[in-house]
Amino acid sequence: MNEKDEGQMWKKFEMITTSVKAGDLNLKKVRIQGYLDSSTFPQLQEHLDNLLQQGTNYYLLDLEDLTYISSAGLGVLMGILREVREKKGDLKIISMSEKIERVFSLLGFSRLMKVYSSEQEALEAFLNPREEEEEPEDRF
Amino acid sequence: MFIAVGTINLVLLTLLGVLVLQIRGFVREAEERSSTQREKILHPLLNFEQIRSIPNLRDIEILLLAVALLLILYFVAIFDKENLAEAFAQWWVTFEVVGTLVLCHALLRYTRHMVEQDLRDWHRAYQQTRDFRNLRVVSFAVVFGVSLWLAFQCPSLIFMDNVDKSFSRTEVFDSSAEVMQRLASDGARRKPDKTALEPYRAPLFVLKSWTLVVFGYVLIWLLRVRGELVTLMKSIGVLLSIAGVVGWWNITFKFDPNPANWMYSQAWAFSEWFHLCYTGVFLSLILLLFKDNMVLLGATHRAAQIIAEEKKVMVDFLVKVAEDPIALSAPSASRRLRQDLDHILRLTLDFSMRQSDAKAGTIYLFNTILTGDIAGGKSKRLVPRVVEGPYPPLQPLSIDYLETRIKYLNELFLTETVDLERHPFFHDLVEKGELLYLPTTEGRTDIPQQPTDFLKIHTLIAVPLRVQDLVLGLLLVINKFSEQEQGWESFTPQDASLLNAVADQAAIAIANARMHEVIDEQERLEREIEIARKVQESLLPDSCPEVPGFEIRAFSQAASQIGGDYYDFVWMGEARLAIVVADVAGKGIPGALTMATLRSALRALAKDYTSPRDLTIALNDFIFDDLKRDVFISVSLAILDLTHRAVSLVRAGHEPVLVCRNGGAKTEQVVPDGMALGLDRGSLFRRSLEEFTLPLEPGDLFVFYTDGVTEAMNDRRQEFTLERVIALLEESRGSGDLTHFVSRLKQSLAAFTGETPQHDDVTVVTLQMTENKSGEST
Repeated sequence: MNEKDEGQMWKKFEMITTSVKAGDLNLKKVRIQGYLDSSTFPQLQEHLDNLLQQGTNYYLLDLEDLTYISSAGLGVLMGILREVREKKGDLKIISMSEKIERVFSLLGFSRLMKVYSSEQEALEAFLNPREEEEEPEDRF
Repeated sequence: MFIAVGTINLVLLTLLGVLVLQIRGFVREAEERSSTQREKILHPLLNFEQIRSIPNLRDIEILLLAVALLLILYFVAIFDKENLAEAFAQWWVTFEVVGTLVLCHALLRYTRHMVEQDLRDWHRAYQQTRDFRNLRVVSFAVVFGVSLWLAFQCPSLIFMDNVDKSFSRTEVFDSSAEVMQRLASDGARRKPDKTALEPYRAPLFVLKSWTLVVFGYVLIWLLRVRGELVTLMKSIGVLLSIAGVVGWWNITFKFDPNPANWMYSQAWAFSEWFHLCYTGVFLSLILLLFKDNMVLLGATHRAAQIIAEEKKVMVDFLVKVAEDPIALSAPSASRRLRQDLDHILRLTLDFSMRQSDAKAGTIYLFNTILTGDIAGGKSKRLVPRVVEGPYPPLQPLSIDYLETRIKYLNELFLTETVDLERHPFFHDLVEKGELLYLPTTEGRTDIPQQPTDFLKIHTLIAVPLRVQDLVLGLLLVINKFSEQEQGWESFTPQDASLLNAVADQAAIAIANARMHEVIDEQERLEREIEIARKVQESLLPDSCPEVPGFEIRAFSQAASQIGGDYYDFVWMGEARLAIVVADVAGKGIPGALTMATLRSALRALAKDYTSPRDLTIALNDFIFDDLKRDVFISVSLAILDLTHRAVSLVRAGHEPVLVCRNGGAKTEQVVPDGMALGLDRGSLFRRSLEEFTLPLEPGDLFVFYTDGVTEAMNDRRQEFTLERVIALLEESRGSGDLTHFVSRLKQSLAAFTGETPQHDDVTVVTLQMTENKSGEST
């Protein structure tokens, strides 16, 4: 029983979504915590799909307490990034653990999604988008 | 004889125009093919799409043609029977000047494009990226070409200027020959008398140019130059150097020590030499472009064929699996059961409405029941599954909608799911879990009503569908119509108790059907995993290739939840072996199919490339459109070059490659820059991808692995970590036996994870150079 509890505990996965005021942008901050793997990624997918349907095109992902991300989880982020970029929105990331950062930089995700050290910095970047930021070329 | 030269050159120019037209036709055809059949131009080097995107470069072909025509017209204009040689000489110089300008124009365009691209990312470009090297080579080629032109064309021009005033072309030869003759007879210089060769001068000139062209062409072909403009520049450099040797020989040979004739003899020799190399280079360029287009089309066609074959095999396989009796029985059963659920609901509603004379009714089921997630969270919603009669939708309707037919009302109704939090009426019903009987709805403000009488709810019975304590959904009937009185009346208590009994029965039937569906769904998933696993197994190589002087070992173990690890060995000719380790981010059948696509593309493309970077870029180009938007592939691709004893590798988003150098103190992690396939289609991917080349020595060891190894978990959710892999590697190094390392890693992983189910595929591929030549090492 104990073991199972422990197992449940570290598998814990949570998303906390808050609206952030940033000019007239419809910006949502999503804090993703815990273990994002093949069993939990559908939750994130559904959640973000819902937000997208509601017309949110600007996202700030706080990955500070994300302890693990599998390729399925990264796939969700990739899909969402493409969708918001298509809708001329954007997705930015603030703070992540060293481990997640390693995954991001190994795969080259850090080239697509910019990581900011603070929320303030990311918000400023949202409000004053600069052209030199690298955009993926995927015009279908 | 000059007439002969002129005619031949005219013919050549016309041919040139025809060739240009031909190339345009081929390119257009290739473009059309690539857009319609998505068969990309596989040739990454002479990427016409890219070159064509350079502004105005497309016009150069037209410009060339126009120039050719103008030159012909010009020749006609200056045609002079009296002094044909002179007219031709004048024309020839004009041809050279214009031709050179056109060529320089094209080169400058290309260079400017490269510079612009590099300036955008200057600091990165400086890290010896390929683009930057290209820029330098192209700039060098341009400067080299222009200075050559200046150096050799100018004396020729000055000379021609003088000729117009005082000499005819033949006179120069005569005087030069005279001088030579004199010198020869004087015995001051023992030079052979060349005047006897004079009648053969023109044919010899043509012969020499053509020999040079053929020689250059063969040389380029031997060097396996593939159309890239930069490589072309390099080849032209080689050609020019060869022509240079010929030219210097010419000049030395024709050197006239007499100061009076010195300048003319020199200038003439220079000029002739330049004509020679100019013709050679120009024609080689045209021929190369022509040949490359042929190669390009051939490659496209071949790759398309191979891929079609591979896809056919995959489809055949999947069809076979689908025809499997076990596989066959399940989907139809699933369809039957799903129909069962709807059938039960429809029967229940029909029966209830007929028994109570209700005019409309509906059955809601909880979304959690439908998805199989019985426990559910807070987000429980009621989903309308069947509806009959004029049942009012929840949303307020506009007047025109009210006029529409019941069919449309029902369609609208079925789209409205009910959030319990927002509808206290439904919330209370579910909370209480008891039948609600309302003879009349008067005074009930919590019931959502529509403004028209047609859709008003007058009387209502609502019954929760319950199995023990679990509420599966709701059955609602409204509005009893009396045939005798032709008007609305109330439901009776008998109606209510009857519906209660019906609901009890229905609930059990629904729960059963749903349970079957859940079980069936699980079976379907398991079957899908099984198919994907079979596909995956069929894609991995049966054995490691035997390479003399090298030892290659591989180990792959799929997780229960099918993942996407892939490794492969592909021979690129006899002396190059490509080693690929990849991780497809996508599970189940889609993941396995992506893997199959990658494998097909790799096998189709590998032969055309020598550098892992170029091959990886081509792979990304090729499969990008086939990937779903949330799928990407991390790849480590190494090419073992047996001739040069070297390994060059790229890391497209994959885990680092571990390298143990013989005699090196410790294991190095090689992490060249690079992004995973499928993240970016174009320049970002290209720019980020770095190639790393390492000359090999006996004892050198490479380890490629996927993250399933380092992230293998035990029951205390600790990861195996890279440190453990490196430690094992260093322990095993002494033995010099790879089998040892691989089997120890296997054991160590098994011991570490214990009973914990494997959550990701594990793949390890190792490559070691065992000895220099057979028998040499001890």
